[in-house]
Order: sequence, then C-alpha cells, then structure tokens
Amino acid sequence: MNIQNIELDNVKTQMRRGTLEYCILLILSREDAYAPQILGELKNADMIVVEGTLYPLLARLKNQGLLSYRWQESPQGPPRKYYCLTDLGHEALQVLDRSWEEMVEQINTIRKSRN
Amino acid sequence: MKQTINANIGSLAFTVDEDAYRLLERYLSDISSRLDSTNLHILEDVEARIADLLKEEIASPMQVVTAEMARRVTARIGRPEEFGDRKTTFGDTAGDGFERSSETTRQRLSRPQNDRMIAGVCSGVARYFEVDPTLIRVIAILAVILGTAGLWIYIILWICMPDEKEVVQYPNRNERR
Repeated sequence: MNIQNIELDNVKTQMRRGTLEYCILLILSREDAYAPQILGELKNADMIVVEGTLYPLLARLKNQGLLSYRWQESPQGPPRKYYCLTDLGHEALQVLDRSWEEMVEQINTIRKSRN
Repeated sequence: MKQTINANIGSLAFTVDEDAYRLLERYLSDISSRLDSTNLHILEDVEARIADLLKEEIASPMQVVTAEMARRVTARIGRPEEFGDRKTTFGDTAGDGFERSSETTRQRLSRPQNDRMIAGVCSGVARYFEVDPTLIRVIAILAVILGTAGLWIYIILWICMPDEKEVVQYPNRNERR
C-alpha cells in the first residue's frame, strides 16, 4: 500500500512537472509578475512543492527567448524583477494551448474507451 | 550571548547570528555550484526570495535572524539539488552580493585529532587533498617499504604539520563531504 502511494506520488509529480512551464507562460500572459507572485499562484494550484523549482524554469524560458524581465521599483524594499512574455513567448503559448487541448482530448478519448 | 553578523541579503540589511549566516552562506554557495555561468542570475533571484521570506520571519528589523528561521526559509525554497547537479566544486564560487567574511574554507595542512593511525599525518594530507585517507596510507606504507625516504618524509611531515589543537577549528569541516 505504502509503496503504491509513493509511486503514484511520483507519477503525479511528473505530470505536474511537464505542465509547469505551460502554467508559467499562462500566468505571465495575463499580466507581468515577479517571482513571488508566480510562486503564490503555482502553490495555490498545488503545482509546486518547493519554491526552488521555479527559478531554473524561469531561467530556461528566458534563455529560450520566451520571457524577459525588467526591474521595477517596489513600494517597500529593493526593486523587483518583473517577468513578462516576449512575442516569441506569446507564439509559444498559442502552440502550447493547442497541444494542451489535443492532449486533454486524447486522454479523454482513452478514458472513455475504458468502459 | 551570541555574536551577530550584519549581512546584505538581496540588497536588504539583516542582522543574522553566526549559525544562520553560515547556513545561508553554505546554501547559496551550494546552489551557485550547480548553476552554469549563464544562469548565475538565478542566484540573485534566490537571494531576493530569501530576503523576502526572512522579512516575514522577523517581527521587526531589529530582530536577529536565527538558524531556525534560516532553516525554515531554505526549506521553503527547497534543497540545492532542485537547481541541478554540481558543476563546480562546492565552495569555489562566491555567492555574489552576499558578502563573505574573511574566513576561508580551504583546510590548513594539519594533523586531525580523530582519525589517526600513528600521528595523523596521512589523514591530514588526505583531508588537504580531499582524498580517501586509506589511499594516502597505502602510498605511505609502500614508500616506507620501497625505500627509506618514505619514513623520513613521514617524520618530517610529523614535525612540520601542526597538531590540530593549535589551528583554528572550522565548524563546517565535516559537512563538506
């Protein structure tokens, strides 16, 4: 029983990992955000457990040219790094939107054929 | 009574106690050892996040950051392994922006108090080069058997290498492996 749980947890983690970048792009497509805002939203959605997961992903997306960032003064404390989608990022998001819909559809087809 | 350190973390000033300082320093340098040079800005983000979370931990700017707080904050961010595998030797890269004390992590060539066979020479040499003491011992024994120079080298090192009692103890010595 226990071992099964652990394996399932792993599967669940992998599922979330795969969609994490898509989620980040989605969040940033609504409005520019700094890391703690993105973290808050991903945590609420149970998408990440530890915050450290986010930073390498942001860096990767930035290096791929999908994101960029700007510094913005904050009312309290030092300036914050606001991330935003680039044009390329918006394009990528459209592609990912489509593939997400396809994936959900295909999985649903498989799920339905179960009975 | 404890000593505290003024640390600049993510461009905010914090008063941290020594244990917390060491913990955060090690955490950041562990993470930076896992980043390649193009991604070092991740360290800035993490540092800014640490500052954010520490600010939530302390009730007023006067309050000292304890190791307990530092541990809670780093637990929230996650283990350094989240940032990938080590690319450089741990401890080589400095966490930028996070000012370091003059304390060095490099070991002095000295004879450790524990882990000695005769006088701790091999163990000290092994620790200096970060290799297995057994390897050095085997080499030393072979050197003694194959020629008299080995014995002399051992005796000279015994005389030259200070006993560990006389050198500063580095508290994080054993945690580096």
